[in-house]
Amino acid sequence: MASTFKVVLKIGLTAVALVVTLALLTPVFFVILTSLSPVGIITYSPSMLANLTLENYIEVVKSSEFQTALINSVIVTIMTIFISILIITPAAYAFSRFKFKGRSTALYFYLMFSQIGGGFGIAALVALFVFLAQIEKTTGLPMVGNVYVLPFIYAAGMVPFNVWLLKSFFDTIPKELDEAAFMDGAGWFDLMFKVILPTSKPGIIVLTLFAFMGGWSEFILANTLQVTTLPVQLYKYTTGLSINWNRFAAFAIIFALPVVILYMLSQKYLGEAMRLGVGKR
Amino acid sequence: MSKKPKQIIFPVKVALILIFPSIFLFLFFNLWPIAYSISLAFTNANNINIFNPKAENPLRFIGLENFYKLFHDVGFYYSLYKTLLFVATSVPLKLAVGVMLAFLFTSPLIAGRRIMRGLLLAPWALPVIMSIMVWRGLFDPSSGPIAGLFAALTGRDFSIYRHEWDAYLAYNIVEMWLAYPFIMTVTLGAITGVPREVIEASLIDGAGWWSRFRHIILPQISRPLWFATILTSGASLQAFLVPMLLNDGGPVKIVSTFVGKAFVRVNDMLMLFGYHRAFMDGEYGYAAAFYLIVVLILAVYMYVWFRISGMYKGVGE
Repeated sequence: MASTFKVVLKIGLTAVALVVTLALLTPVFFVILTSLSPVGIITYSPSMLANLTLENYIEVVKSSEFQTALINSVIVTIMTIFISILIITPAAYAFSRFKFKGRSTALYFYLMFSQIGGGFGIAALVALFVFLAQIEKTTGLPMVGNVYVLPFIYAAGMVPFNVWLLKSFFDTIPKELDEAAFMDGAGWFDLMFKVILPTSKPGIIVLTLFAFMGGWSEFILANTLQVTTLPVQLYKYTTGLSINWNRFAAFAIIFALPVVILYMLSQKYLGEAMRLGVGKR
Repeated sequence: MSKKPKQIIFPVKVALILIFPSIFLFLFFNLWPIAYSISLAFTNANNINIFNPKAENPLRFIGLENFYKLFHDVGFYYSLYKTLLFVATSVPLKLAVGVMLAFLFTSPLIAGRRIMRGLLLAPWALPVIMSIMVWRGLFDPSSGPIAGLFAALTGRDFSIYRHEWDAYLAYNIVEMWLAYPFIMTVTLGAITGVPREVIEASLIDGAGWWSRFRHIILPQISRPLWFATILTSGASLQAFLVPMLLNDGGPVKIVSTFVGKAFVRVNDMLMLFGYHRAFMDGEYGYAAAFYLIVVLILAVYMYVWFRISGMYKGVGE
């Protein structure tokens, strides 16, 4: 009797859980099915599955809007990754190994900023826009709408949190390693590139991931500074007079795919980053 | 070892060279705009005079005029009211869904719960802006399936572009969807901290469902949940992408508050209100003054939360 009750309960609870899960995944089903449906149709019922097509994907990839946005996004993302590694790694190393005046003040400030700085983001956006437009006006250098300026802004935004993060990685590398190499006659330059960088690979991978996620999916800054990256183009799709949701859905999936794949591949590394980030606080 | 290993003495100059590029970019693109924003708040900067010194209304210091104007702006009060209301409704909704999911999915009676739990984290894996726009598709008045469902349920048209509270409901649903993985994960982490023996002992003692929850599980999850509540209510207070991407804070309607009547975007949440003042009206000085007030509101709000919850001590230690 008791075991029958348990089986019934088990089936019931599993059914409830399944329904809840499927209901919460509605947006995911919606975007996938819409992207595969012929234009003007959104597939709901099993009988409609026969009409599924890849036409939307083909049309999106062939469109010049997509190609322009993709090129912009690739430029912005790659530059963000390179600039952030180039500026954040040396700074984090210096904060981890050197003793100098103002070191702890700067570190403390970065920590505070990375915790509460988000709130300033949009507030400062107006000023950033005005500031860049003024530089453009006075020097003639193109700033607004310039795809090469955006990565510098993204990398700058990454500094406070990621300097801390990478410094925590460097702190876990024993100083004796530096000292041994130094005894062998290595200079600080050799030390950095031959000893420190190879051992801090996980930290740099996490940094690359954050830079990728930021550069690829950031929307507000790109939209305000009029750089048509993929998310900005995606937004344009939804604000037109007549919206082609099928093309939109195909575009959205192409845009999201690299992020989803990286998310799944990177769980291990991100877990490590979280552990260090939390442990330091 | 007769000789003590020589301490490496890096020249401080080297440290400064290593740090300089990051500090420079950070100051240039982050701190300077913040400082500049504060100074803009006391000027009449707009999209004409900031670029053209010979404009009719040249850029000048106007003292507290922007603030005076702000405190007589119907849109500001309505935005403040809508934002606080949004915090009051979306936060309990996010918490309820997240906590209920966590409890449902701890039950060992559910077959395949690990897989379902993984799938439920989908909102984390997808880019936020894409998710919100997909929701816009679901709420599209002419083709969106959820808009169609709501219309069928209520017997009238459901439109986030025409009806104030339809859009508001949509914001709450989308905000909940984006945030439940966070609440669920925090709660799951805390529940697993309740020792099995304690629950079993209470079962033997005959503790009822409610008393078990109140006296054993609640104390265990209350602290992490408080922390999650503070963070997630901060997110609701700063709602920007959800209203912007769903319908740009619309629709536009005439509203009246104690300072008068005016046409406003009725779902302009605070962060979006300032953005519209800057990029729709071109009033940079006014927007900067507004954001200065908003940052103050945020600071007070966070401070109060931390005081109420007693988290302040924990953070200081």
